[in-house]
Amino acid sequence: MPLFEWEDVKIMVDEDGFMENPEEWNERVALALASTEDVTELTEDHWKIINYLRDYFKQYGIAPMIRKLCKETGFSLKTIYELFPSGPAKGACKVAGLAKPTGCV
Amino acid sequence: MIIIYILTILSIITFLVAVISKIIRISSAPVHLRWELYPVPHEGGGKAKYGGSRLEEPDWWEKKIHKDSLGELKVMVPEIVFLKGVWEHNKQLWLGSYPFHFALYLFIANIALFTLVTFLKLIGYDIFLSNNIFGQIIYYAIFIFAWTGSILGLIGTIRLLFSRTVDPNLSKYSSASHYFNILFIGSLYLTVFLWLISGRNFVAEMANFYYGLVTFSTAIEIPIVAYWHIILSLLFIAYLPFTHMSHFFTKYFTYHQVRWEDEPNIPSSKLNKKLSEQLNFPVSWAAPHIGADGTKSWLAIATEIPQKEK
Amino acid sequence: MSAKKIDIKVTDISKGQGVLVPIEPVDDVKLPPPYDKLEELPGFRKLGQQSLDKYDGYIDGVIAVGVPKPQSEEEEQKLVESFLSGLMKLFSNENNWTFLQPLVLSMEHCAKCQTCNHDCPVYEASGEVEIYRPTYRAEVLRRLYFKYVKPGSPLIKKFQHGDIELNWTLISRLVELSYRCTLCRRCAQSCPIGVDNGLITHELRKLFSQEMGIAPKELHEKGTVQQLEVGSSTGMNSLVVKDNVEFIDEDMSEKVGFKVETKWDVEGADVLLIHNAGEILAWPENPGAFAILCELAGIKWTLSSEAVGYDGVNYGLFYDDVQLARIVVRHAEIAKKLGVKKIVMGECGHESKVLGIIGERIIGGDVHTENALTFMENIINSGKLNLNPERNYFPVTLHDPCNLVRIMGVVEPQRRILRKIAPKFREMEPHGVRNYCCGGGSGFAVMSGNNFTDWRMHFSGKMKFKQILDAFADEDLTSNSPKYVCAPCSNCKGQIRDILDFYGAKEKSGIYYGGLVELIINAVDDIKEPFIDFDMM
Repeated sequence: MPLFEWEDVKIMVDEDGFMENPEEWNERVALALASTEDVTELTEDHWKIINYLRDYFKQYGIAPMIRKLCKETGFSLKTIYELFPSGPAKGACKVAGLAKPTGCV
Repeated sequence: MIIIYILTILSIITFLVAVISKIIRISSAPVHLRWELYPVPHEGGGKAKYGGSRLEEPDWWEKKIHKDSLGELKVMVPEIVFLKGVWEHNKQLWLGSYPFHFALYLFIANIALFTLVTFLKLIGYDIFLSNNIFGQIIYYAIFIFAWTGSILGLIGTIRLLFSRTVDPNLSKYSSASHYFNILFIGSLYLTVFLWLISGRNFVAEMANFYYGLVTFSTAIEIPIVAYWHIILSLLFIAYLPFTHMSHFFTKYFTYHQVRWEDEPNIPSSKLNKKLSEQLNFPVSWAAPHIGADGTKSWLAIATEIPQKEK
Repeated sequence: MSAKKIDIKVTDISKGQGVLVPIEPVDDVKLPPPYDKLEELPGFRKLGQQSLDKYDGYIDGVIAVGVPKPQSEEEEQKLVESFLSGLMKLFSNENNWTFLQPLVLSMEHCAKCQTCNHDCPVYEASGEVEIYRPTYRAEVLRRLYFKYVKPGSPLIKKFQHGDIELNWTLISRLVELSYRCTLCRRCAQSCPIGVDNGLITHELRKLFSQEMGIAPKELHEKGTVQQLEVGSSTGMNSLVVKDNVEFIDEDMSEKVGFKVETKWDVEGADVLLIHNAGEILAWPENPGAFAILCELAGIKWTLSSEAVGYDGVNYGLFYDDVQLARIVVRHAEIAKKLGVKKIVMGECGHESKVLGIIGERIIGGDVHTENALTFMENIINSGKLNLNPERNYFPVTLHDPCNLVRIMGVVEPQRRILRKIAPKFREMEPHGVRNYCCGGGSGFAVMSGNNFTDWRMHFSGKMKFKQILDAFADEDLTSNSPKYVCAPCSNCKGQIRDILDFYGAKEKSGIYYGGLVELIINAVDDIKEPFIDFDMM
């Protein structure tokens, strides 16, 4: 797996740039991963989404349904795309340190 | 001449043994999982036309399956007679392949006609002798088939040789045997052609050879080119089943045993029993996730909870 | 030099180091405006140095599987031996009874006439790159078969079938190459002899997985292994799936104005519905629409909350017969335990193919299965739905999932439905059993590592994108008024989503995609708000 370096952050990521060891995630890592997603600054809105994703992931071991994410955070899908240009699954989940979604999703 | 007769017998035996053993080998293979490809022409109720199947019917298992064998013939006959598949998907190739194959059909038809003539002569009817109208028809049929066959065959041979050499799509995938096979078959056409233009009576001489063969007569006279034709034909007959050209009969299996094979697995049917036996075959695949040891069966492996992989 | 001009021979696969044919997007498959300028389309990512150091199997500059480099010569030698032993097993009754007969027939009778070539959307979209020719990888295996498996004099075999050198370079490249064909089997339809290059690719993948343990992790580790361990290839366990479906039910109830409630594990139900679990996570309106449909039709139906029972996917079909058997056996056991009359497969092509055809000879024949399209047509024919086609008054075209159409012969139900409910329905060309694959077949839609997504977009999926655009040629492709690609298959939907995203077709041309059941529910006149909400898609 490739090593990804950004400023002082050094993490292992998979072929799609998702974290290999999600337990190593911290806020610096989020910033580092955001830089690969055309997100230069993590605003409060970004964090709201990231925190929801992380909480859900801790509880259930996978990413939530996108519809659920919208409903629970109050953001429309469009807004989420504005915040994370490659979308909730490929963008937001990556920055939140979740593993790459699997199965036919 | 006797040597040729012996060669004939050997060649026919080799051909039959090779073909029959190949048929046995193919048909004794285990029943495979379904792998049909639509359109399947025996689907009834107008479905074959657009490629539909019984799975379009709700609760299909409660309905009678009607298999339309005529539908298969409707596909097979134009496929065999006109090489329809090649015509539709590869017209350039068809231009060479079709005359090449059709010429073979005509030659095979002549073998059948000569055999008939010989048989009739054996039981006392020499149909070429008298003013027998039936004999005349057969005579000219053979004559025309030989002429058309050898000319079409030669055209096909040249065209195929040309494509196989010039077209990189074909030349890249052609082994030495491809050229050899085309030349081999081409030589059969050429020798008949030369026989015909030599001004000798091809039909009568060949009929004499057949008669000589069954009576083991040494008093048969045929020209040199006829020897060539006959020897090459005999060698070819013995060689044919050992090549990919055995598709002339294995095509039956690729279509009927694979492409069109859609028999449902009904409990306690013959198929069902065969499959149960096969599920007891031992597995020895080596990848760790399979968990095989060479004795455990497919059934055991498919039903056990797999070991967590490390 | 463009990739198509590089002169490659079959034997070259075992020669040299590194990439054999560096591929580049070309415009041999021409897209209509505003997608007609190759230089304006998204590019093709090259592999990074890290990937180059890590993997073997370079054949076209793309990595789908990621074969780790052996660390020593002994390891390399062991891998070659392992391949050879797998090759023998592939041609043995015991280890490969499942496909032996068709495989041997395909090995021994190819006439090398290349009639199949132009049926392949990958070969066409690549501008006829040699290694993508449907017969290329087949020919490699064929030569290995004659050289190592078939008895006979080496000299005669060489004369008849040609030669090839077996080494690790060949094997690692062949691994990757066996994942450049979507197993759509369109080429097999045109073979005059009945040879099946799709099958040969399938068998190659099996050899790699079942003997050498090599398979894309999306299909194996994260796919079948996770499904058997956790319950679903998506990673959803029983609790999560119930929670998610409850959420969908609430959402749907809100949307339609009556209570939609999914029932779990109902013994003796008429129908056990098994969705592709990906639908629940990524396209919840699809299982939602199914629930509404069953509710409206008064069907006694249930979902299973048992592990594997709520996920119809079976990636084993794409690469591993043992994994295939394990999953299909679980599906059958669950249906038997619940005592349902039949399993109805959700809108998922490969699930339908496994449960409807392929798996039938593993599970014994006493579990009945019905595909979603037939099931839905039957409901519509029952007259229980109050349908108003005007509610679907937007252009609709239909994608034919290979597994449902070419492989199962389910061709007309979906069309008869669309003719009834979508007044602006138009066909793609070609369609029905001669359709083109979406480009995500055989598991590709879920594979995205390295630059494989770019490959799916530029090569395997380009023909489908062209077909979609051509189907809407009478509409304005520069206006974003909605046009709907109906793809009744999760895998195809994933691929079509990626294509539309990649080429920006939603923004530029208003092309949306979805399943069939959503269109049906959108036509139901008793529901106030439109079920399909283009703003949310």
